[in-house]
Amino acid sequence: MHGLNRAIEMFAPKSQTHSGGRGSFEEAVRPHLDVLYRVARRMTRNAEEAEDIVGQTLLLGYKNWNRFDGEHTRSWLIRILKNEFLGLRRKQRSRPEETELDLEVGDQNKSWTGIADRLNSERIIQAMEQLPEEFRMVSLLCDVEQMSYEEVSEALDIPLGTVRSRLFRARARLRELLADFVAEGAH
Amino acid sequence: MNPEMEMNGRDELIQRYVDGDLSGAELRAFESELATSEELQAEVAALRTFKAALFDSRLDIAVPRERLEALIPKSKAPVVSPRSPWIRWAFVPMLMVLMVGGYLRFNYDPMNFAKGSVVSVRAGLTPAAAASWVAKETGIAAPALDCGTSCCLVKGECGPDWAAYTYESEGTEYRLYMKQGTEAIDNANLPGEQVHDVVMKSGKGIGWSHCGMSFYLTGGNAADRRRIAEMILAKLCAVTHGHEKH
Repeated sequence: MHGLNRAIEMFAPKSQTHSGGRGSFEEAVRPHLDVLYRVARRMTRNAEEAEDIVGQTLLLGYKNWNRFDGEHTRSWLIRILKNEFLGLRRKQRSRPEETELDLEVGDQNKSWTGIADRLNSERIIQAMEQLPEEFRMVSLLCDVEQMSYEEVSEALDIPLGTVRSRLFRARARLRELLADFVAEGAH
Repeated sequence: MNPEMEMNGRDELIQRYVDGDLSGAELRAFESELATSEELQAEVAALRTFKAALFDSRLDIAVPRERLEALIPKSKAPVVSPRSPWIRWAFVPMLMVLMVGGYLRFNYDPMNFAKGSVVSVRAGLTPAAAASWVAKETGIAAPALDCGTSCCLVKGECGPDWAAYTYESEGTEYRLYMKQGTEAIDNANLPGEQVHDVVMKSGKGIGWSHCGMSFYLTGGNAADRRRIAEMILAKLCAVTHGHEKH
């Protein structure tokens, strides 16, 4: 145990102070502002609207802070954000309904090699924009924001199996779209 | 390609492996295949590059940080509502039920110490301050582990004979539970000084024992958990074994 006591000294960084956790809403949400905004931007495709939705999300989160159990703050905030977005969409009847329940994926290309090393962000964003919303969200949270399947399941309120299947199909479709881009670039 | 991999869908298995979603027999079968198949190695590497490109694409969105900060509702002073005397007294039996319930729950399953009754929670601690606080509250010599350069300690929690630190790394929370003694690990038949996947009531994690203490790490995906757990254990071993030599 003496060695562990020594470890206490060794592993303690000299000056690192962080507050947050369940204590203060402000401190708990601050690390997640970037993610919330990026997700809102990808959902709305509009900077102003994204800020509005993030603002609504923070307000709603603040009101419900006392009822939140303090686990997985990021997933909790994204769930609020998604519900706000869907509520807004329902109000904006003039917008076309984008959500599709299925995603057609071809059989021709089942390899990642030859595509991955020729990508750029612009191409990726263009390809992601073409995915139906339900699939885009899963890929966005898993691949772009690097959330675990469990966190995504919690954030989108869908079963783990659905996260897996949507992610696999979203990536397969992305692979097809990006392979097309790569092929176009080669000509 | 073995028949099991064919059956489960090679593409899905590759994705689940890279995402850290494989475990147990599935993981072993995949890794065994991976060790010998150059084609599979190339696919795994390409998918990792693809994921890295997707991850990098997030940088294309400029975040108006200051405006977002201004959107956070500011905390107000807590409002204490006046309570009638009978409500106040109703708290006493409720508290007793909670205390007894917490005790029974804790003792029902030693593997479940992660959910054991919480005695105290503190946020805003440096790792050193957290270690000293845990030692004072519980007598546990919990090391103040810093799990990496991009990892920060968010809060500390103490139970009657356990302590937990919550770390955050790139937006993902990890919780490291520590308990004096090795019974929590021994119950799962896990030898010490080696990390193992553990499924507890509180979820999937990585467990190990070291120098008479049990450690259990949860949060994030399986691959990241393993990486962090192995790094923590390596640091612990380097310190304790190095010390024994002198």
